Amino acid sequence: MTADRDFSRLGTLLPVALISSAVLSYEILLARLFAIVQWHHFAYMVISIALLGFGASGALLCLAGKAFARRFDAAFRINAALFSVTSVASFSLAQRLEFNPLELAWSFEQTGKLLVIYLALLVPFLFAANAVGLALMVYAKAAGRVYAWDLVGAGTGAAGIVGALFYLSPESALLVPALLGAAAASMIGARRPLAGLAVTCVVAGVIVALFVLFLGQPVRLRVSQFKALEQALQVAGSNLTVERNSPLARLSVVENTTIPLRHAPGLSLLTTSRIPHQAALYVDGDGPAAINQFEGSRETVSFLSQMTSALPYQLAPAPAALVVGLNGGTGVLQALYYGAAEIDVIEINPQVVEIVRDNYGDFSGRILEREEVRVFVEEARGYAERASARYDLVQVGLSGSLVASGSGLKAISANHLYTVEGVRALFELLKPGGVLSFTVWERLPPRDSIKLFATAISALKAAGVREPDRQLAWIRSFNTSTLVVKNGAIGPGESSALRAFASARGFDPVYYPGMRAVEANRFNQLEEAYFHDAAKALLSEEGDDFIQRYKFDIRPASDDRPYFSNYFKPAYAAEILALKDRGGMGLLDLGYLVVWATFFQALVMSAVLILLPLFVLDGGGERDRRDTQATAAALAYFISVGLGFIFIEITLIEKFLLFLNHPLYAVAVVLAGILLFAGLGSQFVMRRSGQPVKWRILLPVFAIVLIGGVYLEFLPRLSGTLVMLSDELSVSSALLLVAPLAFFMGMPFPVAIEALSRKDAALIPWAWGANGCASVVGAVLAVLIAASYGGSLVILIGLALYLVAGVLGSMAFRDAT
Amino acid sequence: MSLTVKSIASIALFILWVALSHQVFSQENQPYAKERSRMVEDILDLWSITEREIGGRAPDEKVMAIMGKVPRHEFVSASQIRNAYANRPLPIGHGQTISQPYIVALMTVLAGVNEQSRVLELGTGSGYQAAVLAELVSEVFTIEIIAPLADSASERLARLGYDNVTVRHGDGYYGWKERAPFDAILVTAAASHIPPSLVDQLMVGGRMVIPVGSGFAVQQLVLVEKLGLDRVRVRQILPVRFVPLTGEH
Repeated sequence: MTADRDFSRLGTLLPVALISSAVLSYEILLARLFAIVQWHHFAYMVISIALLGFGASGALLCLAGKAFARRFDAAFRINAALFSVTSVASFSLAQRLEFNPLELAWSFEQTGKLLVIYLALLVPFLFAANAVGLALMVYAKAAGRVYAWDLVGAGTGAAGIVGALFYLSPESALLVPALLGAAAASMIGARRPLAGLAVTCVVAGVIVALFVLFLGQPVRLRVSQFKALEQALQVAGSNLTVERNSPLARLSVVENTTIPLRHAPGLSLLTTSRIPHQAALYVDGDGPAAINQFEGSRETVSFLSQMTSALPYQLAPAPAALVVGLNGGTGVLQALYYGAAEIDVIEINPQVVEIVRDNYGDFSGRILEREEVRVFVEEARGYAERASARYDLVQVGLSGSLVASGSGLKAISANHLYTVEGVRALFELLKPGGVLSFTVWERLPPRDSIKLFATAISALKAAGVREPDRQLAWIRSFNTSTLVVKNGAIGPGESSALRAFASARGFDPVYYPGMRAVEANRFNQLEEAYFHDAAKALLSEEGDDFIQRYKFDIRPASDDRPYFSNYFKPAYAAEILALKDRGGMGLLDLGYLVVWATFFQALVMSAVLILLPLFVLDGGGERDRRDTQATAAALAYFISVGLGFIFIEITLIEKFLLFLNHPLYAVAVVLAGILLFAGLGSQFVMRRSGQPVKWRILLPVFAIVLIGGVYLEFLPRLSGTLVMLSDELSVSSALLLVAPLAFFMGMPFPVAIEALSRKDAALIPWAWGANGCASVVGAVLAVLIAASYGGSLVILIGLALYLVAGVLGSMAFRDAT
Repeated sequence: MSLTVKSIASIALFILWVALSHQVFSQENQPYAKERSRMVEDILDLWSITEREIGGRAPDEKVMAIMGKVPRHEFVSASQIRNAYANRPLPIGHGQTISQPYIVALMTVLAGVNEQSRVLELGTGSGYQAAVLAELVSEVFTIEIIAPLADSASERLARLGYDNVTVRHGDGYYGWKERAPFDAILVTAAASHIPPSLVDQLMVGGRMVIPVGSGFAVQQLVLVEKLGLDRVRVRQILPVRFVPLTGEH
């Protein structure tokens, strides 16, 4: 091992930064591509694959690292080049398998395909990790600098690819990491790396331009045939009229004049209203949301009064309304139908606004350009916290498709609108007597609307309402539920209006003040009045007991546990899985199961990858007992640091979602921030190489625990203030908050690597691998813990792990200086 | 006399033996006969488990006999033939599925049809549900919006001798006015709502059955009963055993 080899700084460090940048941009891109071709929960699988690549690389370098190290430049070049090639090839292969996650619980064949995809995508990550791992191994004494450039490259890659996605489609953007990898390969060991970089940039630019101009996309996306968009395109006469890409989503619009779309969720069976011509808007191939043709005549859209979502207008006629989520404009049109005096619309994706306003402006009757309509491109929760306007009606409409919600594919996605704090923030936008309304897809066995009802009760209580039962009403059709929360008591006259509205349309009242039990479950009959019984139970003193005994997780979601769509109770997992072959498929929340499956897969593979080199290195008991103990302590140290880092990183991203205006920016800003500042921390600590290793580990650990503890206590209180800030200020404060913690989190790993280089350099790649494996398992475990117990606990465990690492580190490197 | 009785009895027994052995012989000669009878056993097993949820309905003997007769392997692609008789839904291309046999049987029973019935189906798919209905009723009219599926189902049903099924490619939202009214309507295509106009094409006393959920996971079956000209009743049936919803402490 040439642990003390000299190196030309830029000729080595720049390629390290480039390959790190390539691999992180590839990881973010894969998550985006999987959201388009499959469903977004595969993002977790991608994170896990990426980190496992690092784990596998550790094992590989442990076994064959010496051979590679002798010819470092060539080995780095080959690995970087192979990353470049396989990054595109592996994704292309993964697509050819036609994997169908909806069939996972029915067929082993799909499990096999998933495994092949997992392994195929592992390959590029393995090569990239080999390149970085080799650099760490060969230049171990400068580990801090290598690690710092690695982190800075990764941070730049994360932020850069998000920017690139504004200009490139995700499939074209696949060339970006490939070219970065190629640049790293061409530059390693070069005497004038900057000149090399400039040449590479020019050549890469020409290649990309030629590719995009003449050959189109490097990979043609094969979207699952079971996604709503693909199904719509199969229908005779369908026509894809618009396709727009951004880092937020791929938007597609389909029209069909031969066999028209008719999208009217929960439309009354008793209505004679006709549905106008519609265009279908799909987000990442999922949906649709309808863009309705409107020529100004109210009668032509009277079907909008025949859905459960029209309920709030019985309590708030001609309101000043806030419509949350533009979708295709149906909510705005409904408000216009009911003569709303003012309509404010909140939509997070500017391209959705552009499609409805520009591409379909004439078609949709220019509704967004009317005097009474104002559109705000913002995240809804942030708007609710910041807005000073007050409304008679706040309407949160349906989102997503029945299939996606029905298959539980959204189980693991954070949403800060459907939390107790989110519902309260919306409630506080109401004028006295105003109403807040939610419409959700209904599923059997009941869970979605019941959880929403429980959340609304908690939100009302949190807002100081003493008798929530006087302010709530709820009706349902066979597949939608609409819930109304009034800022004030619902009077007897309003109760009769609700009853008459429901009765005329064949909807069932589930709850309203003064409702009799016989009124429930009459039009859409279930074996038992499950919904009404649940509403009564939740409003009674036994509410908490009911929630605890219910077989789905219907605890109100909170900002600390913002997974409204997660209904899975691990305690009933065995019962549900046993029902798999007995028609119980509808009960499986697939998103959550995929996360569990990924976790177990990662756990097993990590264990193999960590233990395998250990047996080889053990060399048949050559090492003495003391060595073995120190090795075990070092192993546990790197695992603790890996777990701790990822636990804190993932939870911070999630916490910052709340006040950074969009999840994507939150991920990019926080991830880039953590990596950059951790890089700086790593540089800083390595300059203090005169100090004892023990203290260089213990001091940062104490700092992490101290700062983390302060955040745990004050961040929830602070977020109320931060959410009020402008975009620029909130991004800067996020970075400022991340900086000190990340700075110290960047220290424990390189210090120990450097110490290891003096003590037992053969262990370096193995430590690198163990750290990577811990991150794999940790990434998934963090989400599973957060979904059940909240993000604060994840941070707390993360901090505890750093403390453990501190103890282990001082044991393992007791004598090192 | 006794000799004559004996002779007649012998002849009768011989005829019965020939008939039965022919039956057995032809059963043995029918491909996948064993798999089909195992599939029927699977359906009956599941039926007994979910009996309470599906309103205590008995598994109709006629329907079960038909499930044991219709060659399901003819309705799936070559690559799925080995799974044809598993009690699970299968992909049939174009983003569509052939329903789980248990759901097909349950929907057929819920439709409450007999030999005189005329049935409308929306969403032909592979044509399997139409074939099952065709064995039971007088006429089946079925509409498919995906042209290649409509063509292949039409050809397949004709080849298998289901001449009481008429397949049409086109929009099924407004039913099939020229052939209305129907004793039953089965909507096998997913929708955001039940088309109200279909109720008009249902006879008084008629039933409409709609599965809700994805092709791979039916969450509920919606049964619409037309009780009078302006009276309908909707029942939501869970084809799943998962009660009670609130467990013990």
